[in-house]
Amino acid sequence: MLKFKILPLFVVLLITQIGAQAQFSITTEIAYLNHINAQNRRDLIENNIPNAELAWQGILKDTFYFKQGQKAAVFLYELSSSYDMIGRPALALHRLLVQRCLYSNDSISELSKNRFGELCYQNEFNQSFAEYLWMKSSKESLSSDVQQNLLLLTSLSTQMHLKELRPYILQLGNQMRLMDMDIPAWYNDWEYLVMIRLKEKHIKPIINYDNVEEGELEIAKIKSEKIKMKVFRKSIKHYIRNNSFKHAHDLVIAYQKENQNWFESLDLEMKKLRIWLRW
Amino acid sequence: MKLLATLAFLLLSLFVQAQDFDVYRRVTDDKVKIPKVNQSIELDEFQLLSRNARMMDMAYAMIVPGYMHFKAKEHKMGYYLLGARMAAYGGLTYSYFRLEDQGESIFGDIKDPDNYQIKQYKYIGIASVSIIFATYFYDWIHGKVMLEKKQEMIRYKYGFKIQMEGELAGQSPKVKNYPSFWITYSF
Repeated sequence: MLKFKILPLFVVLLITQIGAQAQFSITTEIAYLNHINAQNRRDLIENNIPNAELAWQGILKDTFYFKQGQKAAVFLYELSSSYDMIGRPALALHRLLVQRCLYSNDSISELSKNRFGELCYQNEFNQSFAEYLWMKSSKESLSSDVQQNLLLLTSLSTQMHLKELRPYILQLGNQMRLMDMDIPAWYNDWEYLVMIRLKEKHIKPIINYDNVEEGELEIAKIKSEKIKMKVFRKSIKHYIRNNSFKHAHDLVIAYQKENQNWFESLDLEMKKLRIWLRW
Repeated sequence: MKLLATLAFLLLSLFVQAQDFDVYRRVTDDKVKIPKVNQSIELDEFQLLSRNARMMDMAYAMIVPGYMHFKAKEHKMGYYLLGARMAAYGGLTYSYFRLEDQGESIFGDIKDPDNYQIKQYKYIGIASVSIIFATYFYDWIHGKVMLEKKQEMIRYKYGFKIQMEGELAGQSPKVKNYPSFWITYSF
């Protein structure tokens, strides 16, 4: 009997606790980012990055900010400054790009123009690509449809070919799925190639941004012979690593049909042995 | 006299709280207490805040090289210290056996000071001992400083944010909220 009396009380207490210990508001996060950026203290900024990223996840999931994006824009601008100060230009640029594509703001656009260019050069982009990124993410080029802008942002992010951005692009992909959007085939291909840990320089020639139809990546149809063999090897390795031996075996059969040099044959035999041993 | 001293020692347990060594009773059991955790706090931060540099850690740091740095989540430095101490132990062992073969020891007395030439192995031995002590003190002092620095950083961050949240909610920072009811139980 006592148990039935105490249980609802416990639930009420728990709910009260959860409510009281919620995440900080975006206004607080902006104020703190502004406070530490002004101090230019690397240790403070680095210490706050995980919290800011957590807050960003909350903003991205909240559709409210797609309509009223002023606060989100300021937050991303400050976060970009933080990344810039701690010497992470890839993320600094990406945060500015996110702000431009999803939460367009004229004042911030004016304020960040020079920094955007500087960050492009720090990431070893040439001038034409920097201008392409700026133009594509400008207010005039954006759509009134949030989903289209999210797709554009994902496309531009993958075109930057920076390994550091991979988890952040996957986060955008998850958001597309949460919003029940049609995922284009090029994104699925990119996701697969990232999953098998292919290098960015090898991903670049494979992705065809005009490919929007559904369907899985057909490795055998990759034009470059060298990259095709690499994708095969990485795919088999990935599935062995994840104990998916049957699928790895299917890939081995497809891989065997290709012309291999002695090194690739040796590597294949090793992989076959691992599949046989389930190791 | 001995009986009185023993009685006094036992009576201390009535009002003294346990610190490092649980000689006296504990007022609360830390493992039963479940703290409130804000959603923004990461596990690393939570762990850092709940750790302190205690006297007992000085003993642990002697046995486990880099212990204080591992405790302060400075793993890289912890492993450097671990490596340096291991190398020093190796050097010490090497010089010990080499000198023993020649009938000497690292800090042994010099029998004939006029015709004595210091051995290279002695230098290795002395350097190894120095490294052992240097890494120990560095681990203890620097590790403690790092732990405190990190704790300050976390308190600064959440102090700012919690105060800001209070102001946004229309509360004065000085206002303290008390629970309307409280349940306690004891064994």
